[in-house]
Amino acid sequence: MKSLRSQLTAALGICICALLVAGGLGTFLVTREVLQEQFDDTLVAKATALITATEIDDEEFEIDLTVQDFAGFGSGGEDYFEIRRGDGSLMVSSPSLTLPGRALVPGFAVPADGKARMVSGFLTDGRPARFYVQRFVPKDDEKREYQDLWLIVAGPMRGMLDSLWVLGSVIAGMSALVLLLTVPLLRVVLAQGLRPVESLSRQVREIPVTHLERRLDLSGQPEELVPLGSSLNEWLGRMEASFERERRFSSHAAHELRTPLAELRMIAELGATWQDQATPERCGEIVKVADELEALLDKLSLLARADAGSQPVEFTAVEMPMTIAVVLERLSGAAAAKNLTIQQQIAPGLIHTDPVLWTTILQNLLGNAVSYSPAGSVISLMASPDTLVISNPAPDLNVRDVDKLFERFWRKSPSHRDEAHSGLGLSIIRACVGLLGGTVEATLDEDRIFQVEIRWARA
Amino acid sequence: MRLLLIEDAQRLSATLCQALTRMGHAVDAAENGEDGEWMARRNDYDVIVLDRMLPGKDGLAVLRDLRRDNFLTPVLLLTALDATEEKVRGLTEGADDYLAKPFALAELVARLEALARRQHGQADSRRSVGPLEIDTSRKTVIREGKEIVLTAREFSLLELLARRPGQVFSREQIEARLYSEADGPLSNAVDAAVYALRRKLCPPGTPPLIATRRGLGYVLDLT
Repeated sequence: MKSLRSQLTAALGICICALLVAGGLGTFLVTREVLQEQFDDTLVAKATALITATEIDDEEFEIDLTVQDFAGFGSGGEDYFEIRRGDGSLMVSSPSLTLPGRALVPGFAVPADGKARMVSGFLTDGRPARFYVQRFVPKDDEKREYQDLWLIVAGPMRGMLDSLWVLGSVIAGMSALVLLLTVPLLRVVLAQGLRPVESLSRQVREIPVTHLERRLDLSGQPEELVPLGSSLNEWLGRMEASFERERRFSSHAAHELRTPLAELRMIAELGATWQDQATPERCGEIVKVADELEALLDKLSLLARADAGSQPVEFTAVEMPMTIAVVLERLSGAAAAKNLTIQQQIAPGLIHTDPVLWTTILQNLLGNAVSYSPAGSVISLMASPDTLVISNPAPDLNVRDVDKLFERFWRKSPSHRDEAHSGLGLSIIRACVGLLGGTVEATLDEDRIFQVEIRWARA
Repeated sequence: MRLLLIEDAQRLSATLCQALTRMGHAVDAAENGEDGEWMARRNDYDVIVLDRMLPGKDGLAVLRDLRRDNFLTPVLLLTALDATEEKVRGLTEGADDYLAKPFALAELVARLEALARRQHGQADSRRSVGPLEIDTSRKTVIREGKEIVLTAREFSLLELLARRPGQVFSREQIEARLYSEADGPLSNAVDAAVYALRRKLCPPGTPPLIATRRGLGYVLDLT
C-alpha cells in the first residue's frame, strides 16, 4: 500500500536534490563565468599595458622592459606574448617564452576581419590558456613602418581551473551532506505534520457500523483538515440516515408481511385442531387475509416494476373530471361515514397521462385523505392539467414525520390494526408520478394541514 | 395458566385467545401498550405475551417500565422482527423469550409452559404429587397406572393446586387463575370445578386428595 509519508519524503527529497544540483551547478557556472571574465580583463589590461609600452625609437621597435616584467611576461613569468607582423612573422616574444618547453601556438593565423578577440586554446605544452589577439600601432611610428603589428597575449588557466575544481568539490560535498540529512529530517517533519491526518484516520477506523451516530472530533484539527472532517461527518450523517431508513423499511416490511402470515397460520391451526372452529366464518377470515396479502403484493409489484423501469407507461388523453369523480364515488361511503366534506376545484378538460397510473395516484391520495382525516373535517382537492393538490387536516402528524412519509411501509403508528393501509401509498404515488415525469411534494403547515402537491411536467 | 396477550393485530389476537382458551388457559387480551401494561400491573399472570410493535406505547417501552418497577412475570416477545439484534435488544430489555411471527401454536404453547414452569420453580414438565403423576406438557394425569381424563379447566385447577401441595388456595385465587376477565364465571363455578376434579381424581372408596378448608378455600392434601 502506498504511504503518504514515504511518497512525500521521496517527492520532497527529489525536489531538494534537483534544487541542490541546479543551485550548485548555477553557482559553479556563474563563478566560472565571473572568474573567466576577470581573467580576460586582466589579460586585456596586460595587453594594453604592453601596447602602451611599445614605441619606435630611431626607427627601431622597442618595448619597455619594466612594464614587460611587471606584467608577468619577464623570464620565469606565467604569461606570454608575441608580436607578429601582418604577414604572421614573429617580431618579438616575451622573455617568459624563452624558457625551454614554453611557446605560443605556432602558425597563429591573423584574424581576417582585423578585430581584437579572445579565444580559448592550448599552449604547445598542452596547458589550457586564454589567448588575446589585438592589432596595434606602436607610438612614434612616424614613417609608418610598423602599422600592421599584432599582439598575441596568452595566459594559462590552470590556477583558475584549480579554483573552480575546489569550488565544485565543495558544492558537491555540501549538497551530498544536505541530502543525507534531508531524508531523515523530512521523515521526522512529515510524521509530525501528518499526525492530524493519522488522528482523523484513526477516528474514522474506530467508528463501527453499529454506531453511525458517532462523529469525528474536529477540535484542534488544522484548518486544512476541518473541511475534510466536516465532509466526513456529513457523510456519516447521511449513512446513519440511510441505515436508519433501511432498518425501518426492514422492520416495517417484516411487520406487514409476517403478521398476516401469522394470522393465516393461527386461523388454520385453530380450525385444524378443533373441528368446531373450522367454520365458514373462519374460512372467510382466511380469504380476507389472503385478499389483503394479494393487495400488498400488487402494490409491491407495482413498486418493483417502477424501480426496474418495466412498468408500461402509455400516455393518452384522459377526461380528468370524470376520472376524479369515479374515484370519489368509490370513496363516498367511507367519506360519508366520517362526515367528511370534499371541496373540489377541478378544471374541465383533458389531461395527457397514463390512465392506470393516474387512477392509482388518485386512489392512493384520496384514499389516504379520507382514511386519515378526522371525522367532520374538510378535504380540499384542486386539479388542473398542470397540478394536483390535495390537502386535509392531519392532527397526528408532525414536521419530522413528513420526511419519512414517502418511505416504503412507513406508518405513523407501527400498529397492524389498520389492515387497509400498508404504508406504501405515498411511495406508490411518488413512483407513479416519477413514471409520468412529474414531481410530488408533501408539506405540513402550522395548523397541521397536510398537503400533497403534484406538478406535471409540461409536454 | 393465566395469560395476558398484548397484540394489536385483532384477527391474530382473537384466534390466539381462542386457541389458548381451548387449551384450558385463561387469557386476557389487550390491543395496545397502555391497556396491556395496566392489566399486567393489575392482575397476576403466569406469562405475558407481548407484541413488539404496538400502537401508542411500544412493546419494548411496556417491558422496560414493567421491569423497572420490578414486575417479574415472564414475558414472551411476539414479533415480526426476527433480526438477531432485535432479539438481543428484546432480551436485554427484560424479555424472557422471543418468538418471531409467523409461529406454530404448539411452539408458542411449549414456550409459555416452559416459562411458567421456571416461574414456579419447576424444572421438568412431569412431576409426582402424592399418588398422581402429572405431565403439564402432555396434559395427562396418571393414578396407579391409569390415566385420568380431565377437561382443560380441570387440568388447570389441578396444576394450580399441585404447585404447592398443602397450601390453601382461596376461591378468588383459583378464579383468577382459571378464568379470564372476559369469562365472568358464576359464583359457584370454582366450587363446581373443584367438585368435578375431586370426583375424577378419587374414585369411590379412596381418600379425597382435595380438601375443603371452610371459609378459606381448597388444598391438595397429601397427608
